[in-house]
Amino acid sequence: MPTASERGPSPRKELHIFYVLDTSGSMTGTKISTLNHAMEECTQVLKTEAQKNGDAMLKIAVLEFNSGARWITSNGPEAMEDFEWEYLTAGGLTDMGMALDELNSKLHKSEFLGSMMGAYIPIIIFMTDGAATDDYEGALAEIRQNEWFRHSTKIGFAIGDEADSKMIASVVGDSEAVIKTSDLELFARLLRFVTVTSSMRNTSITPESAMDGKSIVADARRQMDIPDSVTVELKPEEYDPEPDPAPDDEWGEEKW
Amino acid sequence: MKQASAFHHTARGQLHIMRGAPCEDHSASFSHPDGRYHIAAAADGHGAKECFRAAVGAQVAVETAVECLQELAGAVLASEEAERSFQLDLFSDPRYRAATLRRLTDTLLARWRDRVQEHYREHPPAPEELGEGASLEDIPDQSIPRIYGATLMAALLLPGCLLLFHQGDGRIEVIYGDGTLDQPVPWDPRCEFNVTTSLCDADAFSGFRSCAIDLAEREVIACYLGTDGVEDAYRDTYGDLGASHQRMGGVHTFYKHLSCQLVELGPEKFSSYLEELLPRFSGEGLFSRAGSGDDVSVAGIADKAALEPLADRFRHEVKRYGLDEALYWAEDELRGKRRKHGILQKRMEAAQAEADRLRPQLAGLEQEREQLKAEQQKLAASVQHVTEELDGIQPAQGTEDAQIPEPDRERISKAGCQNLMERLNACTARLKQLDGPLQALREADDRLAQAKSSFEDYDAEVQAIRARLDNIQREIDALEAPAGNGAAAAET
Repeated sequence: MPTASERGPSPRKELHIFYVLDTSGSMTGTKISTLNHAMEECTQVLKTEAQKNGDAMLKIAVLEFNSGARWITSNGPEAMEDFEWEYLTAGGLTDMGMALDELNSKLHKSEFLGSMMGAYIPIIIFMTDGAATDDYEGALAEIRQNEWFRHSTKIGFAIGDEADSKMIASVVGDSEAVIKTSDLELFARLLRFVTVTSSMRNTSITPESAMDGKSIVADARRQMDIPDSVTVELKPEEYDPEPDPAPDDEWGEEKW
Repeated sequence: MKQASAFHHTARGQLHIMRGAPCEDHSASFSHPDGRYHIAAAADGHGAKECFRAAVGAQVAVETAVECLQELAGAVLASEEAERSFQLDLFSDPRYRAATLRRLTDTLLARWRDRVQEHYREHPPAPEELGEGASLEDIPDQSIPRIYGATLMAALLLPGCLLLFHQGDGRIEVIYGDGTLDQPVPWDPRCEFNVTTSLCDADAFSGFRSCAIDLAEREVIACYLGTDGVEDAYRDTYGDLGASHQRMGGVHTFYKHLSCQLVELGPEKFSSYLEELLPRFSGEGLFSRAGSGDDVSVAGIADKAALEPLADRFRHEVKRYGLDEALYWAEDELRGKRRKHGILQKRMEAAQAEADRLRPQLAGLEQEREQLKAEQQKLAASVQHVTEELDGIQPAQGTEDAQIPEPDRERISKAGCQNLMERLNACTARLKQLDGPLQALREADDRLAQAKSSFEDYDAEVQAIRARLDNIQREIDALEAPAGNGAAAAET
């Protein structure tokens, strides 16, 4: 009979929340300060959610990009009890392409998503205040081949007037999953709302119940009574929307 | 296998239980009463939404497989001549072998399809099965097998050979007489990472894989059929990860462990052991961090007596695998804590530096505060004394004050009182000034205490993991020390 040391703990699927954050030079000052405080708040909220959630183990990974991209959580996604927010500083360019390449390299079972019990649909929250300074389109085309990326819940924040809404809409795949605002306090509140809502919905029992980014943004607009101006209204031909996933022709068990 | 026994068990997966989903695996085993042949079969119904009768499909697949293999065994063993002829033709003529195996799988598949069609006709789907908005018209005849989609593995042990059949994922594991473990059925790369081929595929006939092992050429002492609920519990199923975690290391270890249990417990108690183990394995795993959460089926045929000489070696290898796995996860836990440990340590060091910088000031300020308080008390008492004088209290007779004329005495007292009040006010003001810096210094000390406490608590967790790591490493060293690495089995 196997001993207790040979047995593992009771299993919980993992829910990964990825933050891909622009820390370029234009974020200097109030913007980076707001981002740091907002992320601290989100962290506290997620820690509370994690303690309440018996179905899922919440894990968080943070990727910052400026001139290049760097994982803050370089050892892989961290369980909430092991996560501490480190204040980010701003400087450099806006290498969104490198961020997407780096994200693509880790969205695999053999890398950041190697949970034994499987994973819920990941959540990826992008934030930028500018336009890409490298070839992000090539990197975007690559990462769209990644099934985890295709199926993940993606939400984008375009902060300030200089933020390239078309770029962020392309990255998240749907302009209706993008929030654009210059109101930093509103940004902080929305970031927190989106974090909590998506983490609760994506740990529902069936994959069908998981929400896409568009629904979460719509939910935020309804529940938080925010102005219409935060919506990014773009026709598909104005940006590069995510193509519909290919129909399933394999008899797969649910991936999650 | 001269003293073979057959066994099977299916457990509903932990995640299926949590979701309220039915068990979609099925398994069976059969031993002929005179022990001349044994059969094992296992099937896994698909979890996809459109396969809403996959549990039935899996059951029909297993029952059909057992039936077909019983018919084949009956025909082969009808006489000594038939048996001899079958054995000779099977292993001397590859075309005969391929055709025989193909005939069996074609028959099995055709019967399965007929039976699921019949089940469908006799039990048309209820609206709740079809789902919202769907109707029977949405399911053309050629799509009916999809509803029952499943994988299938089957084994037939005859006196001279072992025949194996496989459609879809899951693994058929064979243990040879020399202790080697192998998966001899050709693999289909379409059956990896949670996708699989199926009995309901258009190319299922040609997609069936099979093999025949001549027991005169190579002794087989155990054969296990495990649905993917087994292999999905292990990290190394699809690749080498180092140490004992070679590709399929976890699956091999699982079956070595089962073999040891069969040797220890005997066939009857072994069946009870499987019934207890598999539900737990689905959730908790075995020599792994956790189970797959999926339904798990294990069916097999094994010779307890033939396994016995290998039991000690298998136990050693199983223990080693378990320790390597424990080491990996302890290192992983440590990795996950490294960043926060560093942050808390830096915070503590910064708080310490701040407190060290301020502490000398604190001592000086507190001393000044004590002195001022004493001074304040003295001045307050003096002010009171002079005030009482001014209120007309006569100095006592014979004292120096009594010799000063009264108007002068009043003037001097008023001036003195004013002076005292000024000094008292200055003292009080200075005390108030000191409140701010003193509070800041105490807060720095509090911050240091908090930072230290946070770091020490977290560091204790980290040290506990390090201690656990060291213990595991010591166990590994002790395990390997007597025989070195020579005891490792040759595995494929």
